[in-house]
Amino acid sequence: MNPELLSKKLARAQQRVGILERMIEEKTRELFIANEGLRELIDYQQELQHVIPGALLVVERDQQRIETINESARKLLGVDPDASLEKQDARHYFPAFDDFVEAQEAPGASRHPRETHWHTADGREVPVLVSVRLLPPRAETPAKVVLVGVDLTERKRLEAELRQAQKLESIGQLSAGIAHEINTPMQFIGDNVSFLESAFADLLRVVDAYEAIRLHRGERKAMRDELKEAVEEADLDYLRERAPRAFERTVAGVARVAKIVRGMKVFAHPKDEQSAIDIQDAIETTLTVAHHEYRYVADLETQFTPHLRVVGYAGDLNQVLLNLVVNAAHSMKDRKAKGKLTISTRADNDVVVIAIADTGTGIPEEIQHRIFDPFFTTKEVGRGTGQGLTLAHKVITELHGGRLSFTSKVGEGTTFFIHLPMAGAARGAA
Amino acid sequence: MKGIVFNLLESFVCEGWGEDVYEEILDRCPLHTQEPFVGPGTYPDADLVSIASATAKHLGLSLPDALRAFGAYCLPHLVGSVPDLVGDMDTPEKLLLAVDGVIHVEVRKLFPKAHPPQFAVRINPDRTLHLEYRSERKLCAFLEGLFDGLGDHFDRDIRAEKHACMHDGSDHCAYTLQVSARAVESKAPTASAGAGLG
Ligand code: HEM
Ligand SMILES: Nc1ncnc2c1ncn2[C@@H]1O[C@H](COP(=O)(O)OP(=O)(O)O)[C@@H](O)[C@H]1O
Ligand SMILES: [Mg+2]
Repeated sequence: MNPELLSKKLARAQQRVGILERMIEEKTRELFIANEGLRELIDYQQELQHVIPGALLVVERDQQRIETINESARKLLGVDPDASLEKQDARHYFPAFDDFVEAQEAPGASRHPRETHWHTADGREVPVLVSVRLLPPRAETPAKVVLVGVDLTERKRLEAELRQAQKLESIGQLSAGIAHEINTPMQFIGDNVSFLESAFADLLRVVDAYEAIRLHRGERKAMRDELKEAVEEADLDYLRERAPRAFERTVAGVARVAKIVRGMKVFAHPKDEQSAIDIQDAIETTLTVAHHEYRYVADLETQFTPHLRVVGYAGDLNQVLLNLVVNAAHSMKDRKAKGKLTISTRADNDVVVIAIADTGTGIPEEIQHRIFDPFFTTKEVGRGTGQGLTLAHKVITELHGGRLSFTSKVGEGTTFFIHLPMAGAARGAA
Repeated sequence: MKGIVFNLLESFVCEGWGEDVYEEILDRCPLHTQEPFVGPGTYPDADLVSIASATAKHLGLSLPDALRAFGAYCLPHLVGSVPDLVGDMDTPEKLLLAVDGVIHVEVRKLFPKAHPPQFAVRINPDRTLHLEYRSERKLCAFLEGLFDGLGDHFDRDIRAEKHACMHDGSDHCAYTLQVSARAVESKAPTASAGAGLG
């Protein structure tokens, strides 16, 4: 190679080194700035993690290992601030983890948060509303799942309180009717007892007269006269005819009152546990309590399929039935002619279907989509607060995994259908 | 165009025809770029065309023929520069199917400001490949050279049949590529050696 060429090449090589050095410097500066930015982002992200009120878990998708947990999550799950949860199996705290992830991976998956239960370190169950996002695998990191859980304990408590309040409200509204329902039997119990009281006094007089004769006390003639008068006064034939009936009616009246009181008790003291509920029983209890509401506006017809049972919350179900019966009664009160309230039950595979049909005003189409909304009512103050159907819907769908629907035609009437799975709500849906 | 391509062009000429030839060509080229090219740099496409044209003239070739020879020269060097990426791509088909979605994607990370072309490649029912090439640079001659280089690299015959060309007004160049075993004169059937830059 000739020297001229060589020196030209050498000069170019040196120039290249210079350019490359400049480039490296430039890149180094860029890297530094980028790193600063990243560090800032990490700080920010870490602050954010701990400041959000939701419980944040980042979990490795395939290994189900917890990678990140924020303070809210620690508090919710009841784990020590210094206990290392990292690398622990997320399913230990979140049993339905796989379920939730698979649901997210399904095409067209909903991004809406779903309710479930998390398990705390000391084994308690906490109701939570969980949002899930999937982070796809990166060149250097595996796929991850970001979970944000919101503690529903307080909300559940408030909801239960609201349910209870609504119950008390409707009992309050029914109280005048119930007082009347109790008053009628009480009145004839009272009448019958007075009758029996005087009959008892008359009979005692007869008995006393016989007793005097038996013991030969006093003048014979006078004793006979007294006995005769006592027997006449007592009108034994009349007593023989009337007394058993008076006893019967008294016993029946007492039984009726007792039934109403028992019905009230079911409403006032709801058990908060699931049990096997006899559907016919529940409906009859409701009809007892609501008797005064419909008796003057409708004739009742029931078509029961016997022995239908569901697992559920008795107090809450009664409340739903009551709300629907009272609504039906109200709608028929608003029409002139006496209506008909038809309640039927049937089994459809593993589902119990209760139909409550009225011949009332019907629900105008333009408000049909609003009747389940909280506080939606078309009734005047004192007659409705618009919470009955909201509560009914919640109880049927959320507590019992069932369905509440209706068909309605203005001027003809409305039928509400309650669908209840016999086995009760699946775990986790409640 | 990235400096790595300019450097490849320089070594293509130097290795084939000598350093002084390259200097002569360079001296004769009116270039936008005054400083020497370095791999990570980005330079006007016109400079590459200008050097390539001067080279073609010097060698008494048409520009497409020169570009094609240059493409064939480049391929093993390009493949050799990213061993981690192409490690398990052991046939021309695999490499071609990966150019757009993997290789050039990685190139864009490695060389900021790179504008690699776009490829759409799919397998026809008869196992041939259908390839579409789109680039404002319209370097289909260079591309055909890359096909030649691919054949040599994997010791296969690659027959490229062209259906459309951007130089004839189409918005892309289209090829049917048939890859087959190389019949005779192959010294080492599995040889993919000699690929690396270093
Ligand atoms: C295997 C490793 C490969 C590497 C590292 C690589 C890298 C590059 C780089 C850096 C450029 C320059 C882009 C720019 O400056 O904007 C380029 C251009 C190009 N590459 Fe690749 N490439 C590879 C494989 C391939 C293959 C297999 C093909 C096609 C068969 C291909 C076709 C092209 C073409 C045609 C251009 C010219 C630019 C244009 O047409 O716009 N490359 N490549
Ligand atoms: N059986 C029914 N017939 C006609 N309208 C009904 C019936 N049931 C419910 N509605 C309508 O739905 C509204 C909401 O009912 P609900 O939630 O029970 O609240 P409220 O009874 O306190 O108004 C009622 O105000 C009424 O307009
Ligand atoms: Mg109501």
